[in-house]
Amino acid sequence: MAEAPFAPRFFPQAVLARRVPWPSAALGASLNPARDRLLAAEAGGAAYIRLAYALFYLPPDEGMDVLRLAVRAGREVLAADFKWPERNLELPACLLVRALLRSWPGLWPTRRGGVALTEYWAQGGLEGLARRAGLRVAARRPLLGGAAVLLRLHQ
Amino acid sequence: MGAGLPCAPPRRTSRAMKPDISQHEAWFAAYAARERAREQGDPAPMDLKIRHTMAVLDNARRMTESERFAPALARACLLAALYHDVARFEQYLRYHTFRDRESCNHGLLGVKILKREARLAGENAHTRRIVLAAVGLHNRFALPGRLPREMELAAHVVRDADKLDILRVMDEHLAGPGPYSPTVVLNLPDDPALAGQAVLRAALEGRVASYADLRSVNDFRVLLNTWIFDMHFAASRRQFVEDGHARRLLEGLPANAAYGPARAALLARLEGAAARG
Repeated sequence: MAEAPFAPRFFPQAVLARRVPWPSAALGASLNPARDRLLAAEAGGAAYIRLAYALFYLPPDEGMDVLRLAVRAGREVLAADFKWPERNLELPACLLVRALLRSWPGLWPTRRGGVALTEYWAQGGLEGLARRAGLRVAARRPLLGGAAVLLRLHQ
Repeated sequence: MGAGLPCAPPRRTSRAMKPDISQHEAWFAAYAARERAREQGDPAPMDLKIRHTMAVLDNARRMTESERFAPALARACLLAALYHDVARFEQYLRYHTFRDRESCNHGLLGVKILKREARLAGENAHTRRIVLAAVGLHNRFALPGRLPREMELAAHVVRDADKLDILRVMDEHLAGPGPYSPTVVLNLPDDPALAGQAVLRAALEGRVASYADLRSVNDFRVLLNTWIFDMHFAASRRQFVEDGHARRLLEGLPANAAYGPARAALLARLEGAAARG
């Protein structure tokens, strides 16, 4: 089950998702399940739900909705997505990723994805979304040289 | 206005137009209390940061009033001062240290927290940019060369205000009765025989000394006093002298061959600044 609705065209979401160091117990868990599947899922029916680079191109309200549904369906949500830098060493990777994303055709500022991406950054990236969705960060692990992060999220 | 700022800042405010940031102050107090409650060990370091933040805000307020900044710029400066160390709580909770090298850049983390918490959502875009830049840059050794003027002014206000309160913290700590905490003096040895030549040279040449050149606690006393060369406003230079912390730190130095010349030069500088008023 690897649907990733609305991902920008040609964006290497699957490649990036494969590079995430998922905990071994979560390797078989749903990856980027579609919203209707999350809606239909039994509450707490899954041990894990995995989200990989599936939020940064969504309008923040939709992103929060996905996170809330995921945390309802899974007892733990593992979310990997782009983030703001926290260390000096992360700055080059973050700046590079931001430049790449800005130049991605589906994420140009005039496109829906670009508007959503601007809002995503303005609201603090993945941790901002998680905060607004009322979720607790249990652990974080930097990815892609610090340009992204893997969060373990709970209600 | 200080060195490096060729143009006068926007002036026009009056005492009747003091920026009201009370809602931000209330949020900060609640946030700090919440984060403090999450600490399962010793929360005392967080208390120090709360007190430091309020002191930096007071210093910044004094500067913006004395320099008579326009209300919008004064507001941005005060918000930046209030939020400059907002990341210290999360930094301490996550890493149990305030040392950026061993944890994260607390300026960058502060920007992230302000965005995550939507703290500046009610401010206009110009104010938001100034505050975020000043918070993000306040802990850099030097500011980037070409910053927009108001951003540069706000960053200087925060950096001057921050340094003035660090002087207080260090003076109170080093003058205290008990043995001082190694953490506060960056784990430097208190050995009068260890003198960092680069630090002493910077003091004699009228430059800010670098942390990387510190070899002892006495070097640290000298370094703190070289900050007078990096105060950007008349108000901050005046406070640097009038608070008395800088003088007390210098008076704790040995008047020997190693430290004597730097001690005398810095004391003369303080006296000169005091005489100029």
